[in-house]
Amino acid sequence: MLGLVGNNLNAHEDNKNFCTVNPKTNERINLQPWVVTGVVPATKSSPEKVLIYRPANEDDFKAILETQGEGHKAPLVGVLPDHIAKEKSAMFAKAMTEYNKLIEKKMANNQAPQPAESK
Amino acid sequence: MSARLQDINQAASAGCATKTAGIKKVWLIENTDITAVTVTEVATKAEISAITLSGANKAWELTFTQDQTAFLNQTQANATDPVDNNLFFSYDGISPEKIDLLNGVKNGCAFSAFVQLASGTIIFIGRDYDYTANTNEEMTKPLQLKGQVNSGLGNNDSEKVVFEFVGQSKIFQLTTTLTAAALNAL
Repeated sequence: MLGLVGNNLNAHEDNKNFCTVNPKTNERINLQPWVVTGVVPATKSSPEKVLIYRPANEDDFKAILETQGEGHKAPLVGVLPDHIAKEKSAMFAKAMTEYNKLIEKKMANNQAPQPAESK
Repeated sequence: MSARLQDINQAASAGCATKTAGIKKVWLIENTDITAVTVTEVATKAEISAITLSGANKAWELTFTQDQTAFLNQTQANATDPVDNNLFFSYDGISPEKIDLLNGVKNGCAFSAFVQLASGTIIFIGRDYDYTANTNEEMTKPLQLKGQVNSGLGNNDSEKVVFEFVGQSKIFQLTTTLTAAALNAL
C-alpha cells in the first residue's frame, strides 16, 4: 500500500492534513485517510462553494509517485510499512463511507428545487 | 546531484518577433499552511512537483492590473550574495476588500507564492532546495509584505493598492510542474 513516507510517515497520528490535487485529474484529495471539507464564502460574482477533499486512493498515490520520480532521496510518497498500511487501510475504508455520504448529500442539494425568486 | 553547468542554446528570433513579459497571476499561501513541498530532480533540471496544504482553500488567487506594474525579480546584489526576491503587483482603485486583504497579509509573518509569468511558466517563490540531499526548506527570509495605499497625484493617475513582497533565498527559485488548473483547485 502506498502512502506518506519519510518525515510524514506518522503524521496521521497528529491529524495533519495533506490537501493537494491529483496531478493527472486535478481532483481534490487528502493524502491522509480522511475527508477534509471547507467552505468558500459567497462573493459578488459567485455563490458559496463547498470543497471536499477525498481521501487519496492507490491511483492518486501512483500519480504522485510518477511526478515525484524514481530514487528520490526525500520522498513524499512511497510504500508503507505493514503496520501503518493496516492502520491506514481501516481508516481509509471508514473515510470513503463518509465521503460517499457527503457526495450524495451534495448532489441531492444540487438537484433540490431552488426557491422561487420574490418579485 | 548538484546544480549543473550545461549548454543552453537559444535559436535566433526574427527581428520583429513579439516578446511578452510580466506576471499574470499569483497564488499566495501562508507558510504555516504548507505541510509538504516536493522537489523532483532529473538529469537537467529540478522542479517543484507537489505541494500539500493543511486545509481547504488555503491558496489565495490574485489577479491584477496588467499595466506593466506587476513583476517578479530575483537578483543578487553582488557576486556570492544570496538572492533577493521581489514580487510586486498593484490594484487600481481602493476598496474595503483590498484594504482587508492588505491588512490580512500584513499580519502574516511568512508567505510563499506560485507566480504565473505572462509566458505561462509558473515559478514557486518560497523554498530553498538542497541539490545534494534532495531536501527543501523554507527560504532564508520568507516573503513578507511591504504594502502601499496610494491616492495618486491627479489627472491621468489612479488610486492604487500595492502589494510588494520581499524575501531572500539561497537559490534562484524553481519552476513547477503543477499547472494553473491544479493550483486553482488546491
